[in-house]
Amino acid sequence: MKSLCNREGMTTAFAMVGGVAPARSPKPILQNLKFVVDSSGSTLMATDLELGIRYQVSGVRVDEPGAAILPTARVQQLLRLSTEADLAIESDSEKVEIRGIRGKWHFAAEDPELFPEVPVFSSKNYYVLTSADLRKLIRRTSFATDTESTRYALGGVLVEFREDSVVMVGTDGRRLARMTVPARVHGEFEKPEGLSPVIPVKALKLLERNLSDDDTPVHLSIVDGNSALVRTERAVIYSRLVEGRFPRYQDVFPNHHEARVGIKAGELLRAVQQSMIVTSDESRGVEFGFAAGELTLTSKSTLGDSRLAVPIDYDDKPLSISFDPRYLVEALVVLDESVQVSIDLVNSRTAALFHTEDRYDYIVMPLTRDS
Amino acid sequence: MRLGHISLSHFNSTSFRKIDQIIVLLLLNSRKPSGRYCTSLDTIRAYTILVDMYTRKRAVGHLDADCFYVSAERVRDPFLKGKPVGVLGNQGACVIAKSYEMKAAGVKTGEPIWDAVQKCPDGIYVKRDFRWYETLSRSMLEVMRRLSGHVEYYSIDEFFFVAEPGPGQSFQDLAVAMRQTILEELDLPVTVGIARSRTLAKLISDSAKPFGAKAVLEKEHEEHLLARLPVTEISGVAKRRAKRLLPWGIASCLDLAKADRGLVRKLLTATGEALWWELNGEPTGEIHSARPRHKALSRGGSLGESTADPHRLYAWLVRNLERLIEELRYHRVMPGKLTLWVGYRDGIPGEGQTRLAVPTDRFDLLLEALRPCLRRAWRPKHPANRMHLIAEDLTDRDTAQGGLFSPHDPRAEALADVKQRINERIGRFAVRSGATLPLKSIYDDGANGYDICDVRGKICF
Repeated sequence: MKSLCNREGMTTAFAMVGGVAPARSPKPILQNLKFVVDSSGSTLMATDLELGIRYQVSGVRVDEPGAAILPTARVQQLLRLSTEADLAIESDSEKVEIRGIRGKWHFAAEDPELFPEVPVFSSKNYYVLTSADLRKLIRRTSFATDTESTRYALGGVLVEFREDSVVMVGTDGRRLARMTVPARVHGEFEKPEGLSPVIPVKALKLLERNLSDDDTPVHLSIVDGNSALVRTERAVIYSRLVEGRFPRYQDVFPNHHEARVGIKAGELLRAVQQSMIVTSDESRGVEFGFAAGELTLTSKSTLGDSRLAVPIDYDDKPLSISFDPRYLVEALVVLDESVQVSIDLVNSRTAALFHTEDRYDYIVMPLTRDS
Repeated sequence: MRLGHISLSHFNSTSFRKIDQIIVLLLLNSRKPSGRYCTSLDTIRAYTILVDMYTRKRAVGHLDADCFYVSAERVRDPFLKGKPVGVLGNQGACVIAKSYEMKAAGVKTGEPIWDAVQKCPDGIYVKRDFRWYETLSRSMLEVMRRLSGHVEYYSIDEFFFVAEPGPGQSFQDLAVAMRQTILEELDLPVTVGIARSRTLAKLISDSAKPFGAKAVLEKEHEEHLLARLPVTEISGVAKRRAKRLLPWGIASCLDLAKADRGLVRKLLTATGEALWWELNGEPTGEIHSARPRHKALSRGGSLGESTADPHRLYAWLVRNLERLIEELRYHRVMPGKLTLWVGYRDGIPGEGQTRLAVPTDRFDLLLEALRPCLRRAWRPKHPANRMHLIAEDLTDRDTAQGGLFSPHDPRAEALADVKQRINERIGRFAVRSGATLPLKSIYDDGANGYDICDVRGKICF
């Protein structure tokens, strides 16, 4: 294999792909990246067998097609420290050589054939959505998951496919985030059978890094009911799905509300953040008092107490409800400050529903008060 | 800083407590309604208060009962006085406390009963009774609270207190008077140490045992004492930390006190630096009149006879869980995280951990969460001899996070309440899970009905 790589392009590729290679593995070859060059282009790959990525590297001149195994951390270091514009990467059965104008480095060669295959995107039926929308789906749902859950498959985000949309749902059992974005089917719409797929958070984080905030189309497909494949502009990402049962989340949506209030996301976020200042691990609650024209946030702990009034457009009956403010902050920071949030309330013991016009729903259970 | 014509640099400002500093600052900044600063008469008054505060006799005391469990047995059975006595622990297997007479025969704490009998065949061995020890411990606490305005219930037989001698009384007089009062009122021998900090007070009382009463407040006397004590005598410096200090020539408590503070911090982190300040007579921790909130609660301990039987191990888990729930409900807290630790005879432990979907103290939900933990902690065919169940991330029961998928179950909650009420009224374990049946012999032995960890309110285990 012989190639001449633009160092900047290679550095970007390593940054996107390197995180997938495990630092330690019973299969040591997985700690490396596979670099393949041929007439169709050049691809950098990594996998830990649960998650895999194929990334198209830009700025590569192919002199002789072939593949090489590159030690992740060392080559990444070399790319960072080098000042050369281009680096030649060549390999044979004995060594990998990386060469610039002023220096060269040799690494022991490993057989590229031993590197596990990272699946290619070959689905004929898949969903097409914009990169920005998929990014929004991930940002607005993945924070609400719980990777330590043993009872349910909460370590990932549930994906539901509809004829004209894709829905993602993340929950840790205390709050739940659901986002819907438009999507179109390429090929035939297949009514999903069995359990809806749950994509692990780790895969979604990797995917998010590979997405831009524009209308570039992204392709999403579930393969054999056990893995997800996503094709972005430059990458194909493969992930095994989370095993286990996702709870029946539809049941937790309140079917009515006693009061509704509207407020700008940024305004509510700042109020909650200010009220959090005197909360502690032992006393986390912030009490939200909704009354005519005013929302009062009060908190009290051994550190002190606070009271904050926010003018709101509210004319329902007075209502008081306590929340763990962290759960609100995490949901509000993923929204634009100017987004109008509607809050549906029932009583102090029932979940509150926050929703926006762009089909985002967030449910939080309040803190109970048994005293 | 100047107050009138008296320079406050005469005083060591670090000696003032915060409240004293606030009062002084208030006095310094007070203005007459005319807008002028204090008159010389006001200044003199302020100075008098200041001097009074600074010269007030106040120090830290440590009171420690001498071989407490044995002494407690002697209170109710004076026949045991002057004789070698050993108190036996869990199921009578080990000596957990001994009299000085038995110590002289070579018996060590933690020694199996069969070895102890060899060394001290004339010894009298009695089974532990923590309910009785607690009764006496609380009586000691009551007496202590009468003698000092601020008492910390540190452990079942140890107390820290603010030592404030009465008019005409020295610190030494106070130490002797406290020791004498406890002896006269409760028939318990104790040792009292008084010093400038907690660490110094404890070192002094430890070195004055048994039945000692010693107040050391002069630097010279402190240094004399510290020079004789190895660093491992300090509570918080065990072998590993001592080993870290040794290459720097720090072997005695005095070496540590004289060492460079930065070096101590580097070697022993911030907790080590706190000890350095304490050894130099600057208190770093307050006397807690009430126990600070628990970060974690745990129940467990020795299984007595080791077992490889999974049913018996499960029974122990259920027993420990019921005890843990009792404690959680008492403190009105619910855990967010549970850890199950199982110790095995070959020394290799097993552990399982789970984070709960929502904090709860319900038996059925906690047991459901713990079953996979036991599977992870279980090492088939290996005899287990210890188990600990630890509840962390404690949140107030009164303001607990609700769950989306754990609906309110009034029936299960009513059942838990009934169980708690019956046990409170009729006796502990009167209603318990049927899964504990393999441990019938444990429940039949009344000595297992109450443990040291059931003595509430103390700071230390």
